[in-house]
Amino acid sequence: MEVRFSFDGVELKFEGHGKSGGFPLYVPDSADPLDDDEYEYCYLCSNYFVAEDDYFKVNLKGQDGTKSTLGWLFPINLLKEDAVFYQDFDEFLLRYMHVGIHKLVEHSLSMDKWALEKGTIDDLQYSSDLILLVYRKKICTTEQFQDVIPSLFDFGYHVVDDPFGIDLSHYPINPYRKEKTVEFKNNPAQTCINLRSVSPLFAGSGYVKMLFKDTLISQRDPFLKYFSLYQIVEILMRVVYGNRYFEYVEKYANDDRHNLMDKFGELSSEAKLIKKIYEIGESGTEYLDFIDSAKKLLKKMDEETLKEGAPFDDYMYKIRNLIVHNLRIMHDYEKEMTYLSYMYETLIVDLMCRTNLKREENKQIYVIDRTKSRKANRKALARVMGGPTARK
Amino acid sequence: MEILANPIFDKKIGSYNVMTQMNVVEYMNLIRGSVKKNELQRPRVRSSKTIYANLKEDLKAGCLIPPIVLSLYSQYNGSVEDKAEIEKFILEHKDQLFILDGLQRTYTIQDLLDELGEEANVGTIIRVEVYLGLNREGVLYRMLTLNTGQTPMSLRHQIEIIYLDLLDNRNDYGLKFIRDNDNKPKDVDSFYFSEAIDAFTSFVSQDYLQITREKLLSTIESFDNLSKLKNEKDAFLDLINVYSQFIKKMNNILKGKDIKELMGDELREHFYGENTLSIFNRSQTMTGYAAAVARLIQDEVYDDIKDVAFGFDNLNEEDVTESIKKLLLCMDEIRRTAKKIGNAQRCYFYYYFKSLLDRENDETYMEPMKSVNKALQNYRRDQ
Repeated sequence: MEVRFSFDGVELKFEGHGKSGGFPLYVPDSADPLDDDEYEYCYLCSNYFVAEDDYFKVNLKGQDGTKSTLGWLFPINLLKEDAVFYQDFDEFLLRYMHVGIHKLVEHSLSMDKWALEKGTIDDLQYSSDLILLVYRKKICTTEQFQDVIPSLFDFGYHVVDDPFGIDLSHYPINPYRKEKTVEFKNNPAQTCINLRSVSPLFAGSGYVKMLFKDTLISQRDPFLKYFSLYQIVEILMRVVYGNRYFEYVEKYANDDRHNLMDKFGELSSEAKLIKKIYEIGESGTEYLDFIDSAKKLLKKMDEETLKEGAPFDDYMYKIRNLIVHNLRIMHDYEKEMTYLSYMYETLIVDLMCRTNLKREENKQIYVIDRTKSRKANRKALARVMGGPTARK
Repeated sequence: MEILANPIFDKKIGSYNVMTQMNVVEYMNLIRGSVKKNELQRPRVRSSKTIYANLKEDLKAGCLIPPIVLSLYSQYNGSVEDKAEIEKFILEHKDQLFILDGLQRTYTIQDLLDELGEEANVGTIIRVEVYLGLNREGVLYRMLTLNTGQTPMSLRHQIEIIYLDLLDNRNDYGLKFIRDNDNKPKDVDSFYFSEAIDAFTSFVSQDYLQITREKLLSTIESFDNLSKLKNEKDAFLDLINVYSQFIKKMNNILKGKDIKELMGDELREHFYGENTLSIFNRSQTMTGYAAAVARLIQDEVYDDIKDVAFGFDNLNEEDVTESIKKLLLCMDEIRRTAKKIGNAQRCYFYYYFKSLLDRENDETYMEPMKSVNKALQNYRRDQ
């Protein structure tokens, strides 16, 4: 149901869902306000950006490096100040804040939460830890927004379902991310948050959704966390495997038998599949941080170190193997692994966003069923290959 | 109008309650003028159309709606047994009537009469309670206790009613109170009414944070009788007047100084304030001051608010400029780190004024620089 608003520069009044009310609001409005219908919103919280001053413009960065303004992100507490407070505020932020306030009122009324107690915005009953991201539908639909959640997570923001009862203690503090946040906040040049979408390979993935919404939050065991993250590599390995497999099958007529056998043999090498995944290279100091920490761990464990200059994926896979094969020993190094697994979160998100792999479409294979007649096999083949060309 | 019984005296709020009944036309003639006149009555609630449409149908059908509760400021000095005199008194003072409970019902009755015009069924009877001689404090108390309905009035709204007369009338101190949306500038003796109210509620509740409905109600309930609250009306003016003197003092010392220039490279943007007025004549600073004064009175450092101003002549003026620079840096720290900047600033100013005005503390009394540092220390401890 629609909610009607009126604002005189001092008080925001509203009517809808059978209720009416208002509260003092000093966020200056614009002569050219944004159209609420063109914006969507998302409820967030963070253990890293807890100050009222932590408001940012949010960009969405494409794989080609182009940036588009996605929206603005601000804590709900930012809406509670006096007129003097907003004097130097960005004009666009103020407009986004008005859209945000409207969305908050609408949601609170629709949930039957609003109750006049203080005569302030607090009567909407939202948690004071709530952070609101208002974004442009034109740049990102609600559906596409799911692909941005891992990147938000990597910045230290969690998507919350219940904006009225946020419990920050529920969310673990990642020490590595905390260091990064301090670095970010102390850098005056960092005024925006640049988010990225994950590759379409992960679009709609139930596992990815669960990973960033629940698993990484509730999972405190570093070994299981590492494995949960490693599943993303497994998903990509499967893609590489599938693409290669069809490539070989398609060209099998041009290959000799032994060569083909070797090629198929390569498909069973995880290390080689991972190499293919990491052809995109390493990007950023985070990879070097991981390598340094992994080296220290290996040294501490008296494990054979990798050759000097070995890339990130070698270290990542080595750690994975150690967990699989030496978990009983690894347990003595839980502290080191905790830090590594937290770093790994960032690197997995980076991989999900930067991977250039694509699933080869329309590749089919039909295996002859010797128990059936030639005619039946031909028919089945035609179905797989799709249409008359198969019958030639 | 028919007075149904002898008035009953409400000992809590010191007012007579008269139960009457009248038809809807009589009621509207009685109340129409005061509804139009009173700017603080709430607007009509359009979204509750269905409920009030049903109510309208009920009225047409002769259904008896719950009593409407009115109040009348003027004191009735006549005989409580003389119903005719009471009726005459109410009619003569009908412009002072205020709807405590039943505003939306009144709008519905108005609608009904507009709709039916001449054909209005004057036989539809309603019951109306009238409090006679109910002062503003009594109105507030009754509102807080009655106002639990579908569309209650905001707390700020209710507090404003008590002090509404200060908004437009002159006072002994020459203080001016302006509405937020009047677009008139603040000055050393001109304050936003809403911010002055904020400060006073902080004084009443001894808390620099925004007052809640529950907190106010319990504060009022804790008074032995409401006349005590009535005296607080003077306290309101005393509190703001002392503060006005403080701002004047600071303004004289800082006059002609460009605070932005003074800050140099130490602070380039996001100034809490750029001059005396923008630093001190705003809600956060005032609520901190008011809560601190309340605390000092509670601690028996002062007997009377007015005594606070006597110390202003002893202010260490040499320190003021440097202290303002430090204060702005503290405000910047708060801005960058606080979860709720406004509340954090209120907290800081509470400690600032508590140190600066505490005449029993030789170390910080009228020592602005020491008070700024002490406030920061206490603020950090609290976070």
